[in-house]
Amino acid sequence: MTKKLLTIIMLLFTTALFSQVVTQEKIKKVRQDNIFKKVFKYATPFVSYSEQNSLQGIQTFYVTQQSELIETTVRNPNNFSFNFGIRKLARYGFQDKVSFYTGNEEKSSSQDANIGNVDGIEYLFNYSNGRMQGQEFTNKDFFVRYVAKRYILKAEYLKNEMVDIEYASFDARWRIPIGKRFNLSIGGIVRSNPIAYGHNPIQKYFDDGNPWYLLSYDYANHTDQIYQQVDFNGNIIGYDYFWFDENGNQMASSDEEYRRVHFGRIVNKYNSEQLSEIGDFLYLSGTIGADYYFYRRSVWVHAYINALSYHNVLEGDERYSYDNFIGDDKWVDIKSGITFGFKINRWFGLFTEYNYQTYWGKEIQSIKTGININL
Amino acid sequence: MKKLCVLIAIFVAHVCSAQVNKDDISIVQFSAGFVKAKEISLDLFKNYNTQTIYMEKNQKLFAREKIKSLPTIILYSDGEVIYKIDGGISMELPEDCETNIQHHIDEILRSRF
Repeated sequence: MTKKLLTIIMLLFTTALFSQVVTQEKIKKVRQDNIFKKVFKYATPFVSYSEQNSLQGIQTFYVTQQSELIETTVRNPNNFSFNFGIRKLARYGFQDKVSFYTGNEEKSSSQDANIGNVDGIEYLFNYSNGRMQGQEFTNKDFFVRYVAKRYILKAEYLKNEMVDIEYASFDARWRIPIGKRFNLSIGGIVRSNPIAYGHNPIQKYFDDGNPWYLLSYDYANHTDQIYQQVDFNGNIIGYDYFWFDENGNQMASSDEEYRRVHFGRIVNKYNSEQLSEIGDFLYLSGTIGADYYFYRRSVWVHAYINALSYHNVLEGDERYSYDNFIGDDKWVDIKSGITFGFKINRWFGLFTEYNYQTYWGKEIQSIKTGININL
Repeated sequence: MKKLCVLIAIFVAHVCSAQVNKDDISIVQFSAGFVKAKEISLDLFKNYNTQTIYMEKNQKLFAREKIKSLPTIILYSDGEVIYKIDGGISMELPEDCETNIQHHIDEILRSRF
């Protein structure tokens, strides 16, 4: 499915190239203008490498039966990040210009909005590979948008192993400008969804009447052995279980210890494998959006909203689709943001940025606000 | 509800307002009927906001924008005057004025990336 979406992204890129051609008034002018020069004009190819110390855990020790002290502090190797790519993304007036792109920049709101600060083609291809807190990662962020007078095409592919997100989308809309500052857009969007949102395999496992320890026997090949607990007088005060791994090594000396220390990992692995067996989903949704941008040095407002509804599963096991889970294919997903700021005079300014997204019932919100006083 | 209607009305007025369009990249030609022959065509800049305003109907606007020669062309970027060129005493715009405007537009675009 990812391959399909990558193909779509490439198609968009070529469509955008083609669109650049057909919007020229005269064939002669097309000949004069080098199309590749147009596409890559103002683009910034970048390569960067950064390395810094990782956060170190609190110093910890283990004491043996023979009172031998063993340090168990986790020492993470240095964090590093290698990035390369190319970007052509217009900044809004209120965004600061970066002197050097490293590929580690925060995602810009111009990527989330439907309309950037320039018409035409904008894109970002960013590949990064590195290590963070001892965990190695490979991230890919591909974005292409073409804004014409009457239509908008947009494709995105994001894979971020640090936060375990993989997402792709292709968006085609009709653009309706109202005045010079406000735009409406309406169209369709295809989104991939690598997880069967709403579906919890372990909950289903328990709901089917399976006890927790059956998962340990059947799925993790762990075994247990009952033992009696007696007090110093030899009276039986209860019983519990030793737990052993698949090689017969003891893992825990009670059910409580086993569940507390080991069972969580088994559940995570079970959930992850069950969800990957369900596979990816591809949804086609109707979308309507609005964008507003007004900028002056002393005051600025940028707002965008996208509402997605009337969802159809194009690919994936419908038994586990989100609409099946909530019993309705007309739920509304929202992606929105607003940035507002003003400067009263040379020394006082205020800014606010708020973003809100709810996709498949998962909410993400962020807010930044502050006051600047220049003394 | 009334408050909401008022807010919407203010918003719509704000969206549709601005006699001189200075949003984004805007090229405004200030002219008059008697120098119409001296105007340039703004078709070359049709990818941006273009506007031609005539003095006969907008005298206050001309005073506010401090237009002293005709024709005058002003290039705005987000409300700021980036480039201004006028016909002077001869009422004739320089031959290379389109090239100069395009050059300044390129600079504006470059500064946005």
